[in-house]
Amino acid sequence: MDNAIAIRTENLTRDFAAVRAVDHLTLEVPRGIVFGFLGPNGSGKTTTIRLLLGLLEPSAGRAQVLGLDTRRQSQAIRERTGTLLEHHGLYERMTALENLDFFGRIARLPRAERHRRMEQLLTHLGLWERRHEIVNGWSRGMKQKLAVARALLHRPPLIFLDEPTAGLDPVAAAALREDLADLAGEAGVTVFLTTHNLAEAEKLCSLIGVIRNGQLLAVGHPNQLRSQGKGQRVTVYGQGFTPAVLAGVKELNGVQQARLRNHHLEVEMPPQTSTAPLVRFLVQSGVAVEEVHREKATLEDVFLTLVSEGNGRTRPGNGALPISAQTAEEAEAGQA
Amino acid sequence: MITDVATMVWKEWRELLRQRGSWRAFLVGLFVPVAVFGIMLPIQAGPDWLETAISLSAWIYMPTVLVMTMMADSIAGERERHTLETLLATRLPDQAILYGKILAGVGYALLLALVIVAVGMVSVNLTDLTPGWQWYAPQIFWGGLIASLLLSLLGSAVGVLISLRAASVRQATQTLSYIMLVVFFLPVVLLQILPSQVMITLEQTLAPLSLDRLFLVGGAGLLALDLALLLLLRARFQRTKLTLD
Repeated sequence: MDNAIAIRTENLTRDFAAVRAVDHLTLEVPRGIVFGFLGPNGSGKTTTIRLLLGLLEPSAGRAQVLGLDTRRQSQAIRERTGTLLEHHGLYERMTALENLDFFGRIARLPRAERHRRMEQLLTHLGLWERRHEIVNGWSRGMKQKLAVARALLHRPPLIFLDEPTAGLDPVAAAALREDLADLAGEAGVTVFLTTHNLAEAEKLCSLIGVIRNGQLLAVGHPNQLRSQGKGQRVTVYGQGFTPAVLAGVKELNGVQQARLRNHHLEVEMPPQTSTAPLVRFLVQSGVAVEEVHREKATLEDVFLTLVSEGNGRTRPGNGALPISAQTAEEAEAGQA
Repeated sequence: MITDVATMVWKEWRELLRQRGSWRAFLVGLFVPVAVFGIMLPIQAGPDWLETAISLSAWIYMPTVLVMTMMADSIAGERERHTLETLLATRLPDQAILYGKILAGVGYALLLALVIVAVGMVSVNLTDLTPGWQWYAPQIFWGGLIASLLLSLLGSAVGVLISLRAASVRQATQTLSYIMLVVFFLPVVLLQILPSQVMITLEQTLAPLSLDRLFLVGGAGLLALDLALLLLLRARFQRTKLTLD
């Protein structure tokens, strides 16, 4: 396997009874980057992580993590990875130090190294002074930070983070995001991050994959994905917008959509289309133009477009089973 | 493997000690069984406590009951507190997790039994005025120790099995309570309702057997049961199944 690739899946598929939670997923994640796996609830993100960690067996296809096969070498994969799954998974009756000590022992870190690493991580995350406290009384943000420390404790080359900032207030989420970027960047760790938070993905990730109903809809750098957006939005601020002007704008060449909103005009146009004819028309129609903004599609626009288009898809493989409205999580629960 | 099992035992004991909030609360929780089985009963029984099978109640009853209660939490508790999946995502082999949990229970039960037995011996010696220090009869001590080990292993394995299948700690505790009721009261009820002819036959069968032989037969039966349960648990305790649960 190519050493530059941390994760490689080929037609990775997982069925739960009649529901396909992960559908012929083919993906490559290079080493040393933060990969964002975006998708709505129940789209198969968590199932994918479970498959990559060898916690679930694939129904078809295969996956390699750090060059190791998920079916045959799952223990070696877990040895070389750190995780912060859907729940922080901390032992709340134990202290912060005991929690880390336990996972350090599991990783077989020598005692001195374990203690050095615990001090380093807890100090970095601002938790060293509270290391002897029982975790139970901590805020959710502090628990998530401690779980991040746990994931990084044994210096794994790859960490899986399943919605690490979910449920955190904006301040705590921003702090955690900053810590994650720092720690991952320092160590050159590959991060496989699932999130709903598009701003977070845009800030942290250098590669993004969008999944819906277990199918990978798109992969690319945030800028690449944005450029796949269907068009640009031009916002014109000024005075004198009338219904007649709006009707005229709609007739202009290249204008896909136009609407008046709170004393400004919003116009959807194809990408790369010049705004000069629009501005000229507005001025000639008596509008006092004060400001013109041209905005590319945001990642959110692209994401929403992709997932709404993905709604009606059928499987690319045998096409025998239509994708059920049941989510991956519901399907797993049903199987259990 | 041994290091991994020891790591699990370390964690289980930490959690157990913290379960009641503090060391002091934990020790207070131990006071009742020690007071009943280590002080009250030995003082009532006198030197018989050290020489007859009466003291086996301390060796057998306490560890089994305690370990079962403790094990109700083992898997169902981890699942309920959302720590199980993170534990399964580590490099620990399935068997290290399983054996670590069972051994933590067995170790705790044995330690408690030893404390109770030691306190019992001290209680008897302090209240009985016979000169010289009195020890347990070797047959009682070793028989009790082995019975305690096998029964706590049985209790631990049954506890993990129930906990593995239960949806919550409460459900596991309820199921284990029913099992304990049946195990401890069924023999009493049976003795009451069995026809006299059956009782006579039973007595005739058991009478020629010495205490040593009874220990041996009972021990072999328990060992077989323990091994069967461990094999069943090994087959059931698998990451992929637990993840789906």
